[in-house]
Amino acid sequence: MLERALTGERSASDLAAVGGLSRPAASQHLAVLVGAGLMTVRPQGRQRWYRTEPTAFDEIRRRLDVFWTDRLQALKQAAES
Amino acid sequence: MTNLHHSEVYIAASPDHVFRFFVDPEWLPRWLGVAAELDPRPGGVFRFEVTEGEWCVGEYLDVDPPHRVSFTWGWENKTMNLSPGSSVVEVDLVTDGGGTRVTLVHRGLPDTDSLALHADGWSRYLPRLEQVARGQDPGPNPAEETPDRARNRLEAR
Repeated sequence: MLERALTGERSASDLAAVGGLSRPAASQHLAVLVGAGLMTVRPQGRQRWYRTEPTAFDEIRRRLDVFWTDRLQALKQAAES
Repeated sequence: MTNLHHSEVYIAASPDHVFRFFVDPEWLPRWLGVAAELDPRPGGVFRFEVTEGEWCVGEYLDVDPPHRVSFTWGWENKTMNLSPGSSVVEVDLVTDGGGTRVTLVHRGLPDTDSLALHADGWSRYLPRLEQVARGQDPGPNPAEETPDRARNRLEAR
């Protein structure tokens, strides 16, 4: 869903189909992705249009980088003490 | 698989000593998480508590002391949709002078659709991991937030 909405705004139905999810399940996932700042949503009438933030995948990678870099430093300290 | 992360660190200790930190449930929490349940053999459980109540779960793949250990991991909480076993961490320990060079690779899911579907799990937990990594308290467990509460929280913006 993130990848599909990278190239343009998509409706929840479209993204549900791409993700192989039911509409309610897709809406739940999309709500979390919007809440995490990885997607934006634009309501228009009864439709909601979702777009992926261009930096979404980079952000996921950056957070993992921070996590592992810090953890390996903690491992070094624990192993050398 | 998509490479999500790759890094290495030099540790002034023997590979045998460093290896133990990946397989001993008393030693893992000294650098990762707060508690662990480990059965360090292929197919054995790899499970650790990131913060209170949040468990990262997977199983060991390779266990070749003292040079190689790998395990899968995901989140135990099913609503996070990053199921146990959906990513892989591979660790290599190489003797380097009097110490050990540790290389860690974290591989993602086999295709970008899967990565996207699981990104909600990562997106919810990675900020918390980041805070834990920095020694901070990440606050209440977001997994306790029901979909209705999430929707209400988002629509209140």
